[in-house]
Amino acid sequence: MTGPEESVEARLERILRDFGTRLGALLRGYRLERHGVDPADIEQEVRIRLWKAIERDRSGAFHASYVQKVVATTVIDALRRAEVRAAEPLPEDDDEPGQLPEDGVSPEQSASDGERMSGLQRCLGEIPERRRLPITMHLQGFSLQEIADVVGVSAEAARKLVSRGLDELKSRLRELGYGDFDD
Amino acid sequence: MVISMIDNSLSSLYRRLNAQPEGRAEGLLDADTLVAAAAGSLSGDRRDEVAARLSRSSLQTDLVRMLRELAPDAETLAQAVNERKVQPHLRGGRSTRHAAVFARQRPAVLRWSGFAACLAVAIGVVSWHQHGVRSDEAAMIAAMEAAARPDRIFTSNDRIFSMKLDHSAHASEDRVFNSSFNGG
Repeated sequence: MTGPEESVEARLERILRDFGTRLGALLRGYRLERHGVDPADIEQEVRIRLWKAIERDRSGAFHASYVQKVVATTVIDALRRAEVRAAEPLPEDDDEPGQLPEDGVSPEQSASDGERMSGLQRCLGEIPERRRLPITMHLQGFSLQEIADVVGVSAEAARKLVSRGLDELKSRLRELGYGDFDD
Repeated sequence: MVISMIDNSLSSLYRRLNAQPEGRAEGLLDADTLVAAAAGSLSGDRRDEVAARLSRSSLQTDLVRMLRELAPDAETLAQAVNERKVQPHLRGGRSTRHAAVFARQRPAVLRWSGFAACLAVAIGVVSWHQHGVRSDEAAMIAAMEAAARPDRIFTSNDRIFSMKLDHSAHASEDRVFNSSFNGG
């Protein structure tokens, strides 16, 4: 009577394989290789760790949060290894993109950015933290729902906080002479 | 649309502002916190601290957003693992339940079996006793009957040792020795 067991096993293997593929796509989508990690390595290591965990613990319930934790731990470990490698002297490898900023910045732009960054930092510092966090999270790339979940407010409240905060920030930057960010 | 353009510009500037070498791994939140942030299940007292650290790190922002996108796939995987666990568990559960039911029923079965055995022994003893009494009675009756019957060996009716000899019969029947024995 191994028919049903085999199909369950095969299904689990397929889902685990799909999960690895999806993880690899997300790692590449978020360009984690910028941080010195190899998405393929992480994908493989996550699959191995998950399979070991599945085989090790056959009694208790398997939670999605545990799967997430395995992914996070594996990525953090890979980042730590990458950091150690980065600290070591590297052989000549001009093809590697290295740790350059994500966008190419000209010297003129860099000088201008320096001023604007100082202005931005100053303006953000003037906003109380509770109101500043949704703005900075939004500027960092979090969606409104993600901001709401982390900060602990509704999505609508997050939208209002971000919208008002951005208006306030832009006005203050303009007042201080850092230009109009509309352009 | 205007907000989006302004936002993009500010975002780019803000990310460059925070792109200073802060240390990739040493400043990272731990895995549990990243997962909780992705799931929106941070404890209230940590929200501001975590939000502040996330908003300063593009790497951690990417990690949290990636974990969030991965959540449905993680759920599917967890369900598949649990389904695989349920099957052998169910089988074991059934046998365990059966064993438990049997264990519960067993004392009752043993009780009734013991009672039946005792009853059978008691009936056997009684019947054996009655049979013994009947045997004694039968033996006594047989003895009485035997006593009442004439002894075939030592009785006078015995043809061999009987004292009542029929001389006339011998005389008439014994033709060979008749004359000699009869004094003839």
